[in-house]
Amino acid sequence: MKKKMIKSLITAFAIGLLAAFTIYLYVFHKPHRDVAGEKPAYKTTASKLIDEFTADETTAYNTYGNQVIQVTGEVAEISISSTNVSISLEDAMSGVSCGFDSLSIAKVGIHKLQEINEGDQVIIKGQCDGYDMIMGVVLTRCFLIK
Amino acid sequence: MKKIISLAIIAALCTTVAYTQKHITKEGVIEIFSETSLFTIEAKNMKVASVLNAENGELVASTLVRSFKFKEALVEEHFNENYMESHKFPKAVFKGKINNFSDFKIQKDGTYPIEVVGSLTLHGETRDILEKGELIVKNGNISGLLTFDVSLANYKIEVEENYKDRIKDAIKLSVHFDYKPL
Repeated sequence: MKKKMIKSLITAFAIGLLAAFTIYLYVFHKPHRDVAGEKPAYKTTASKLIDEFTADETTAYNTYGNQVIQVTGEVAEISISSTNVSISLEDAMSGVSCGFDSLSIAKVGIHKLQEINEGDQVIIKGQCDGYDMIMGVVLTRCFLIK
Repeated sequence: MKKIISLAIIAALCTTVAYTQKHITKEGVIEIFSETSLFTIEAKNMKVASVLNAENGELVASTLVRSFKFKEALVEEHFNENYMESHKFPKAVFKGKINNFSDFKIQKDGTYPIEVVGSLTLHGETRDILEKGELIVKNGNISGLLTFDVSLANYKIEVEENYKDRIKDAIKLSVHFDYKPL
């Protein structure tokens, strides 16, 4: 009888510990959004996306804001450093500006990004942050598909 | 005669180039920092755009709130949903100028202390700011550095009572722009 009680006490304690640890992991080490692995909510072209944002920014933001979207477009400008790669599609100023941070650069591989030239057709997936008057539509945590 | 006309045209073009020269960055960086004994908040935004008019010192900078990337994913979620409400207010914009800009001879390499004055719009609230920073000129390229505190209450960003000991009212912003001539 006593043995049983001790056994269940230990089990309860172990479960409690596990729960506490899970909560701790969730709060402090919840993984960041994995754009590379996430299925895009929308697939579109860069020019269509720009048109939608310039026609009605609020509606477009409510649709695409914080969503992972996949865009196809022509590279208008590319700037590369080891911690920050930026690719503008269709237009250097008011096109789709795709940001790769060090995490996404590591996932894609810097050499693949270095091979990209202006005028190339690319497919990029990223989190849509909205529309900026200087940068155009901004995607971050980007992943190069093609 | 033809020579004089073409020379005049070239001279006119040169002056317009020199005087309407704008400097731009689309890879500006803003870092957020807040530290209490219980909690450290760190975030970095590498998608900040800015245009500096080298004729009169007019300055515009803008970014999207969602482009701030935090160390902890959960903090990033709270920042967007509870504090900045980025679904309602997706942008942060500064419009203003560098004071006494004409006093600078920015063609000359060097570090110049500056005073930036203008209006900052965050969380749908616009406030006047006046902050000190510096401009660094090197080989015709201009960099701008600015570090200042933003009071959350001032922009009606509410911190829940039980989080007040973890999050300071004044959040430190460090701004770094490396401009290129447009």
